[in-house]
Amino acid sequence: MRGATVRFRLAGKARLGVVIEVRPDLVNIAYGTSEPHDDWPQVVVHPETRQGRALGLREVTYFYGANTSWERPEDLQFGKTPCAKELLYAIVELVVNYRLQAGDERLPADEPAE
Amino acid sequence: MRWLGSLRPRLQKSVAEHVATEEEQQVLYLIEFAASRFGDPLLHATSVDDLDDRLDALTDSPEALHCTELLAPHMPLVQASLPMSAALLAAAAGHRQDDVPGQVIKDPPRILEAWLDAQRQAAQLMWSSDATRVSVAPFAGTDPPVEIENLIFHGLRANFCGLAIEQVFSAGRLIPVWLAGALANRLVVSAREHLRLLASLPGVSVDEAIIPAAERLDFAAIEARHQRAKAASQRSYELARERLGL
Repeated sequence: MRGATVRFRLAGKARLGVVIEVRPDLVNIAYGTSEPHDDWPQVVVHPETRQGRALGLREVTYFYGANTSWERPEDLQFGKTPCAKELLYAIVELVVNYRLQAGDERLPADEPAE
Repeated sequence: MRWLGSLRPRLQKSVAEHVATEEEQQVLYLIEFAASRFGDPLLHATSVDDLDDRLDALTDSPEALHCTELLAPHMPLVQASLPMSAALLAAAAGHRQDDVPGQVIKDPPRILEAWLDAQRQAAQLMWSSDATRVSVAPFAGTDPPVEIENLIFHGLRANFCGLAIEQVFSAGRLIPVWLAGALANRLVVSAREHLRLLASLPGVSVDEAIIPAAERLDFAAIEARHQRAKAASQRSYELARERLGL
């Protein structure tokens, strides 16, 4: 299931993302946003790329290290195509870097960055 | 992969002439299985995206690991064969540097030679005299840090591309120019990435002109970072469970 592309609702908004970690009862998802923040570490996915097509993007989408959420698997709509491996590793590395920099001061929370 | 190119026809000849040993027969079956299982599907790619999807899917296959494990005891036989020329491999596969915009790989044959040689050194370290050394290889277990996982992925991808190219040689078949270029580029780019991992292994020697010291991995630092990341993930998971009342 790691690397699966998913759609789900978070704080009332439809989100699309990638499963980056699987636990027995929850999965951790890195989700994308259309909101650019030029000075934040990010992974950018364009809709016309292989990765963009796998995610079903309609617009340029930004992944940030803080944009992760633990969700119940039953609340997710799984995509047919998995995330490309290179994109998955880039996103996981982004999230890991964020968590390490945030340390104990700010744990990854389910708060949209936009 | 380097050795398969020259070993396979020799083993095929021995089997055909009924002079092959049992070990040679086993190795030939393994080589033919690997080439068919991992090389052939790539040769049926219909586009670059399709090729990348196929490569991603193959790297998830547990059979890749099983094949490596089955070939491991036969490494002395495999390595006794003359290696396939990396220069030939790159040139015959139609490698062109301008096929990958933004990625400039200098001297692909030299990189491939270094990568193939580093694999041989790593295999010797792990399997030649003391099988327990496999288990002490850095991050040999499950749950590797993402940096390592990414480089292992590149190692598999490079080997699958190499097997596909070897299938082309072996069968003398023709493939579209775009596919030859895409396979060769992925072979070189991924070999270069995987070589960073191999060059960082204690006991494996790689020219610093090919992989500079600054690009090699500090396994102790990566492991420490990985443990911190896992702890942070665990805290985040526990908070989420609390919030969701689980």
